[in-house]
Amino acid sequence: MAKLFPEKVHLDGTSRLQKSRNNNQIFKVLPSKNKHIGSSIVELLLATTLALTAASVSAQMISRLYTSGMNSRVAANSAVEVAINNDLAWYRQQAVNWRRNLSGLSYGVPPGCGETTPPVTTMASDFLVTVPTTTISLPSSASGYTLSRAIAPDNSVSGAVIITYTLTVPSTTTPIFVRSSSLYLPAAGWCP
Amino acid sequence: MGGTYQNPIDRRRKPQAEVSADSGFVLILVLPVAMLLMMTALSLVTRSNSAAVASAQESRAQAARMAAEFGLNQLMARINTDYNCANDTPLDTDNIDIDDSSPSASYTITSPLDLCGTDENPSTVQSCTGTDYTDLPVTISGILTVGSRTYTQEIRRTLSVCEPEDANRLRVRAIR
Repeated sequence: MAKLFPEKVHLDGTSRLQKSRNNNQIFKVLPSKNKHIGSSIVELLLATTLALTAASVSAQMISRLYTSGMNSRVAANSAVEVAINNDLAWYRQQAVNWRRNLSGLSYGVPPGCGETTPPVTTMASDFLVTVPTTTISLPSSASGYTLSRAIAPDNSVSGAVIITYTLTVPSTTTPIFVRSSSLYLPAAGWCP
Repeated sequence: MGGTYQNPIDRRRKPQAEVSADSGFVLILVLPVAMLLMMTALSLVTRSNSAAVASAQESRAQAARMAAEFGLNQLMARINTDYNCANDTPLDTDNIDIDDSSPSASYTITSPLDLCGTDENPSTVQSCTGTDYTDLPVTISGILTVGSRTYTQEIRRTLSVCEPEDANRLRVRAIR
């Protein structure tokens, strides 16, 4: 019977050897035949565990780095804002209590009522004499910054005090910001 | 021991099975770790950026709020001294810069435009001799300008005002 596919021969009559098949499989888990080929289930589980552990540890390290480094500026910023708010609230309370009668919601007549010629600072100066001007201390999260306060009577209108906050970094001369707020002395409303 | 090769050319090739095993291990171990690290890093960068942006926004909002409070205090002091019902323009409603601010800040008195009502509809201000004061709602906008961007905060308060014996003057007795 004639072969449909005769053996391939070279010109000199020798037979050509069959070419081995290329094995392109990535995973080949056949324990009975080639146990050393590919990865077993145990190796897969081990590799997955190692991968998850490595990812978890690296995430924790990066998170710690983020908290200590990147977040420090945000924390310092927040600490500065809180410090300004607290300082302003304290001065407002001092202004509310200045010349206030203990009997009720009335005030004694303050000095400088009717003063119209600038600088109109009599009332505010009298208030400032009674108020201690302490330095502002920032928490450790904002230890690289210096927050200073300047408080002075408003020269243009009687019964007002200007408070200016300046935030600086010691190594630079240009302030990060300069913010002004003002205090109204409620006693000014009780001028005759 | 070494295997038998039917084709001599195959001897020069690295055994395919070992390559497959290494590739599989690399795929399983390295790729997930790399992907997780990349995702973690991206997530942290996004978080840090959003936190920094939120902090900067809050800081600017507070600066604008301080400017508005500056305007409110100035308004109350001016009502006690300058502004009164007799003035043709009792309130200065222009945008007023706050000196020496950096970044620059300003405030605007949004309302009331008239302290004592209009000529057609004047309001009656209670006398300071009593205890029933007149409510005066006020609105002040604080504006912070950083570069080409402006941040505005508006505050609304109701002042208790009264009229002393000396007519055409007002006194701010309290903030309600």
